[in-house]
Amino acid sequence: MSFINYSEKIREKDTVILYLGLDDTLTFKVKAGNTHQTKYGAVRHSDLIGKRYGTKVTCVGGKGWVHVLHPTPELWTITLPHRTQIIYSIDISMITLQLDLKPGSVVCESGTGSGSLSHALIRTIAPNGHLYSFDYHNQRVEKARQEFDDHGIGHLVTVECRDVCKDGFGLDHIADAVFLDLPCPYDVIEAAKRTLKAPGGRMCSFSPCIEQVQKTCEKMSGCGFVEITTIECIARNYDVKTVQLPAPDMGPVETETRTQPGDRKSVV
Amino acid sequence: MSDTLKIKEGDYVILKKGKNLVLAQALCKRKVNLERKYFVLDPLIGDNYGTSWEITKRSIKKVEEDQKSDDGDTAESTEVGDNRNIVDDNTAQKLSHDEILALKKDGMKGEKLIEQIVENSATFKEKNVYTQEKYIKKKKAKHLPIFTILKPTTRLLCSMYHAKTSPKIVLLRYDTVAQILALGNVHANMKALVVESCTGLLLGAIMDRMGGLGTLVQLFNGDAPTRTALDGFNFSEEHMKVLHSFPLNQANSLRIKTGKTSSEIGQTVEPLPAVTEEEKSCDEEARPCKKQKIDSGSENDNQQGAKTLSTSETEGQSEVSIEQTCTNKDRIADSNSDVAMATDTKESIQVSNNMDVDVPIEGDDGQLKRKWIVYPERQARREKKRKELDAARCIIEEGNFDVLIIASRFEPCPMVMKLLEFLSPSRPFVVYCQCIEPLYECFSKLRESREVVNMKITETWLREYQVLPARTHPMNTMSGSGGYLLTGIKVAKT
Repeated sequence: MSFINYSEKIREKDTVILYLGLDDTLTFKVKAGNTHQTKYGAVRHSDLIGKRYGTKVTCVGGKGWVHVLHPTPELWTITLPHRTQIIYSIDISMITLQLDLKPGSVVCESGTGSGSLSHALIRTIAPNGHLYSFDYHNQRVEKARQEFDDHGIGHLVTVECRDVCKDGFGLDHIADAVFLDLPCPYDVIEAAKRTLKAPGGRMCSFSPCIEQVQKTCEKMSGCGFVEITTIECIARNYDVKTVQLPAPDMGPVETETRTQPGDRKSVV
Repeated sequence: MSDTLKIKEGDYVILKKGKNLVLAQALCKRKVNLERKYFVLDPLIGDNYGTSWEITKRSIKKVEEDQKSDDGDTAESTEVGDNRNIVDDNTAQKLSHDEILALKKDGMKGEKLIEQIVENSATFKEKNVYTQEKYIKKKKAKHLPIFTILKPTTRLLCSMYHAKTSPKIVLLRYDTVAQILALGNVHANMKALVVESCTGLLLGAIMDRMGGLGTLVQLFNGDAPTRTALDGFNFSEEHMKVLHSFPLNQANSLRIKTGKTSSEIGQTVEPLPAVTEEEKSCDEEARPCKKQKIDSGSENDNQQGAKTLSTSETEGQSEVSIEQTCTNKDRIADSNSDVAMATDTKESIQVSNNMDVDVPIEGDDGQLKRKWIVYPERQARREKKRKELDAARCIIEEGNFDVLIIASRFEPCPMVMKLLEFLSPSRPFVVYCQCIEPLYECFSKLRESREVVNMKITETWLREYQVLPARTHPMNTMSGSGGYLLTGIKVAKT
């Protein structure tokens, strides 16, 4: 199993996604002998080994069943353990499109955070691109490295513990794209520009606040970036239900016309 | 990778002027049209993407870096002018349209021309500094014919097609394209099954993300797929090899080869059976317009043709088939009275390789028969097409697809229900529709099938912002809808 290539059968050490219901998923690494408890009962890892991804697995205890799914970056995003606020698939998809990413692209990102975007970027740039990811939190860097290795994508990413605001990226003119998810992205614009292949590289900054956006755009413009656009993207979900609306009771329908005094009464 | 930044002859390029994007092919001496100005792109070839060019008479001239005027968004308001005394009655500008044209003809251009226009505006000085900036920007856009040359990418092509001809791409907005690519987990080395009515735009986006690795099968409507948008991506021949086509009108005849994975089935295509007479007649039925033309001839002709068909097969000659080109109406009209041709067939007839020839030959009984002769090139092409069709059929019936993507102008439900069987378990499918109602039906049917989980119908709301100091706000207009997506994951049937 790897996040960049589908496999058919579940094997030991695979990271799998258990699907319990809509937006109700959990994940673990398969190890023979282990058991995972869910609200529908227990799932023995040994029961999974050798089965096809997508199979329905009845839980021990008979309270129900779950489906075992092959991990994808999108499933990972809704399942992963949060170590920081993460970026969700709707924004990830826009970032990927706007940065013109494809197999072979070289990308720099900061900060790594919980690795939600990182997995999606690696999926897009595989098999011959590379992601350079930076975070100033040592533990997060370690955890991210571990996860990338577990997920079969360690060879496509280099994670470094570094404060890019102070020390820059340490990479010159190698990236097709740079992505920033920082509280002060405007402090990193010049360093980011040095990282980009010249000319024609793309840059993206992701900020929750409009003040950050304004400062960043101004700085980008000052540094010579062109085609600066700012976009907001939100997903709306629709729930499909069959609903029967009962007819209102408005009383019996009259068959005679109402008359004024003096009119002749017409009978239908 | 710096050579990818250079424009090569034959490349499709994007000309960007303001918000306007135009796709053109960079061919020598070929004129292109940008906002009603016609010019050749020859000077561009060999230069870099990202450069700016000025349109001069019939050609273009490069604008050097230092000559580039800034975007003009740097004003900081120190005083506040306003419009309390400005009356909009078209008398503010002293220069008439003709006078400006005369100035341009004399060779005045660029910053100088704008300066002249500004000087001759009676109300310019009264305006607030942001309004002045906006005014200058507008005049520049109108009078300075400068564009930037860009390398086409999925992002640019999707924006362009959505802005200009969105009905041709079933109103697919670029953020929805982004969603389809992400939710479908489109990546290199995957096997994708696609039905689209976007003239190839979505195909291109998917192929771009596959990087030339993997397999992509498109089910197309009609006789041949429309893929004009695919040109813009500048895919190499090698890259195009991932793409296979199969006609949608034979989709119901597809049957999955159950129980076999792609690793168990050999990678090579099964050997083709010899072309039988039955298949030939199927060929005819697949071309209704041609059949009509055949009917307009006499009944006898058809029967003769059929006889000739079987005769030539047993004799082992080059095959013939009852085939006409729809374009040669004259010849068909004359077919009944055609006697003027020489009996010596191939050499004396001046026809192009494309056309089949109706030639009278002397039969055994001394009577003139009619015989259709097909030239070898045409025959070879047909054979190739048949081989590709069979190869595509093989690939589909193998199953094991990693994603099913539908973005078609047709009702999605029958297509989803039929094509889902070719998708492997634990793989996503994405159905796009410009209206939401057809997706409700899909949703219900799929739910009943108990073959899918994690089903969602979503719509994305996209808003662009103008971000300038003291002038930040959302754009005045926003796209109302980018279409709807039904997504889910197929699981093993329960």
